[in-house]
Amino acid sequence: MVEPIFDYQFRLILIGDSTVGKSSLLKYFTDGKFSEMCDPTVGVDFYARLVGVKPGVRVKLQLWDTAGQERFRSITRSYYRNSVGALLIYDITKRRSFEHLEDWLEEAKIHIEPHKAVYMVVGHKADRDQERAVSTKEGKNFAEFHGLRFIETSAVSGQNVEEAFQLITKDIYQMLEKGLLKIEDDWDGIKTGYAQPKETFTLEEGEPHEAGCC
Amino acid sequence: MSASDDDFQFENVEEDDLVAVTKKQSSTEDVERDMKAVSLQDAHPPSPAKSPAEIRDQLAKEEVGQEVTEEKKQSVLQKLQDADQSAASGGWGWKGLGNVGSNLLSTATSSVSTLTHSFGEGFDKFVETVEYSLGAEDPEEFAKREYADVPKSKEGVVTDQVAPASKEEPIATVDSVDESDEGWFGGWGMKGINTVVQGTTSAVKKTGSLGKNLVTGGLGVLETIGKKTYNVLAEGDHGLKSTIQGSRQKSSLSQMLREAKEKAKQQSQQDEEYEETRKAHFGAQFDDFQGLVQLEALEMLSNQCEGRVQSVLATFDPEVLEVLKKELVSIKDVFELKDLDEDDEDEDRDHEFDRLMNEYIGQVGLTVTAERIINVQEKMRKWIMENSQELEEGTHRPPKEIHEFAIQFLAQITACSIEMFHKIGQLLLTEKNAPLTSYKNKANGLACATRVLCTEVGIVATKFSQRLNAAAAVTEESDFVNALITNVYLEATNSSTYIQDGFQLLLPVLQQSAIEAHSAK
Repeated sequence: MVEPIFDYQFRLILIGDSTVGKSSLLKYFTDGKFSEMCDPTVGVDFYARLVGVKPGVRVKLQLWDTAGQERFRSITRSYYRNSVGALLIYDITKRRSFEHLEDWLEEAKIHIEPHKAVYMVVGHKADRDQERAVSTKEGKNFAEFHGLRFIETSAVSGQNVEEAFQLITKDIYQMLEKGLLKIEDDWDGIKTGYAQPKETFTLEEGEPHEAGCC
Repeated sequence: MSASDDDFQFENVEEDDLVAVTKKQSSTEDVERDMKAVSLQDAHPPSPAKSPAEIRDQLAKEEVGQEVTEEKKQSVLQKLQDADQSAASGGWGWKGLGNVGSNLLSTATSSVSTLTHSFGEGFDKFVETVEYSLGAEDPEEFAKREYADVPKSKEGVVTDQVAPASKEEPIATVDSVDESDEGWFGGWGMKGINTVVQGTTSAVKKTGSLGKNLVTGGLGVLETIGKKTYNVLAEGDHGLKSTIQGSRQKSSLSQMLREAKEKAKQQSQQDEEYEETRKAHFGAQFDDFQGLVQLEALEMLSNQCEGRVQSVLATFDPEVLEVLKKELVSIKDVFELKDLDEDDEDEDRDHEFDRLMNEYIGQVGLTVTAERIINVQEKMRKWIMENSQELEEGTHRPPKEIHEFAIQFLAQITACSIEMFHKIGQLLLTEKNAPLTSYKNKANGLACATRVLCTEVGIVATKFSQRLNAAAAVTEESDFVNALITNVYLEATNSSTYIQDGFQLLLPVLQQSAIEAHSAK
């Protein structure tokens, strides 16, 4: 079997109203370019990319791009639980998409167990500043009120796209290091790559000193 | 089994040294013959000496695997103390053991005879006691079993153990035995593999300060047991091996730096090789095309529907249920895919692939199309055409490249199929107002599409094999190419299985949709 070359896999989910640009954001992040063509997402689509969180530690981000359309809501809901991070996306030119953030956050919190995920608020389409309907300050306030990170991005200019994913990945990694998040058998939010030594192995290493004693 | 003259030779140890060290020891070749005489000359012989054969007989009678009693331990300590004193005068040519002979039997036998020789009478008791208290098996029995069970062990286990030592200085051999005492025995003990090994660890600890070398060196047999245990453990745990090896290496800074450099070089090389391997690995490619996660999500969807179907059916009115059940059973029948295996891989259907796929997927009546699959398939057909043209023109691609493309194609078409099934599943659940009777038709469309896909995968595998064979004729690497062909067929089977699994996962989704359509009325 070919082993993956990442140390961890984090599953992130992107949620937010239809047409706020979730798929475009992900396409820019994974392909490095903006793609004009964009059919509405059916159910869920998937993207993946490797990210370095510190020298020698590679994380594979498995990105779940959910459909914003209401009719898929019952299906996408079931994907929340197995995510370790959720990006709440709104369109800075569409006030409604910002107003709906509260609902999205609430829905995510219902389906993700407490302290099991890192959330981040993303104001998207930042290149269209002239059409702006939500000020940066408003977005920031909303995020601060809920104790979340905030960033404004654009898939056209590429502004902050890399940074957004870097930030959330590092946050998750730090929580993992501190033991605030754990790898669990029946939860797919975080998985180890096979390059990572198995935990049982460290146990075996530590024991010889005790075992010989009689 | 006797310790014949050829069987053990102290190759690296001069005879003079041996005599000087052990004082009374004559050449090892004479050990057996002179045994009695030597032991009579010995400083403290309370009773007549036993020959090695007698000792072995006695050892054979000992029961294996008994626990060490407190009295036994006491007497072991006592005897070891005596032994230590008598050996204190010199280093005692024990280190020579590392070089002894080329097989286990001679090692075991020479252990016993050398010991007897050195300590004369008093020692046979010691050997017995130690071996008994350690619960060791009779060396001969053990060795016989070794040879019977593992024909390779002569080259493998035994020479592995002896060969490295003989390359080093005798002193180095003693060092490595010392270190291995901590690493090896410690390592086995905590594993708790069996009482033999545990007994060893505890006894070694007890006797550690008195005659560590004596015990570790003298019980080559146990070392072999341990080595075997270790090998079994290490098979599933490469980390253990490197840890132990790491603890045995004491190197200078420059050496460490050299090794670090080497390691970095290896790492980058490995990364490259890894990338290379991934390109021709079905599983890795399937994952890269997001097939795995699509399948996973489809599975989640399927499981949810399955649960809902069961609970909903339990609450339904029996009369309503009757109608519904008939529909659900007819859908289920379609999912049997009875005639899948009978499909002949008819090449004439080539040009029909896109027509058939469009027709069958259209039958499902959703906005999902087979466009992506058709694109992938077209790309593949084009590649094959180009490849055969190239071959006619005299140029050819290396078999490795053909194989790589074949695997990538299989992975991609599989991933696309799963994605399509997943999309269909999600759309089925959001669909409104479809008549109950339409679901059997949808199921039929899906079943036919699955059949076309599996047939296509089969045809493709054959085509790629033909290309590989053609390439092999030019390059003359038939063995290598045959392996590649086998792999293409294997992965084609995998691909087919994934596609059928994906299809089967849609059954509960279709049933759930049918129930919802029915109850909506």
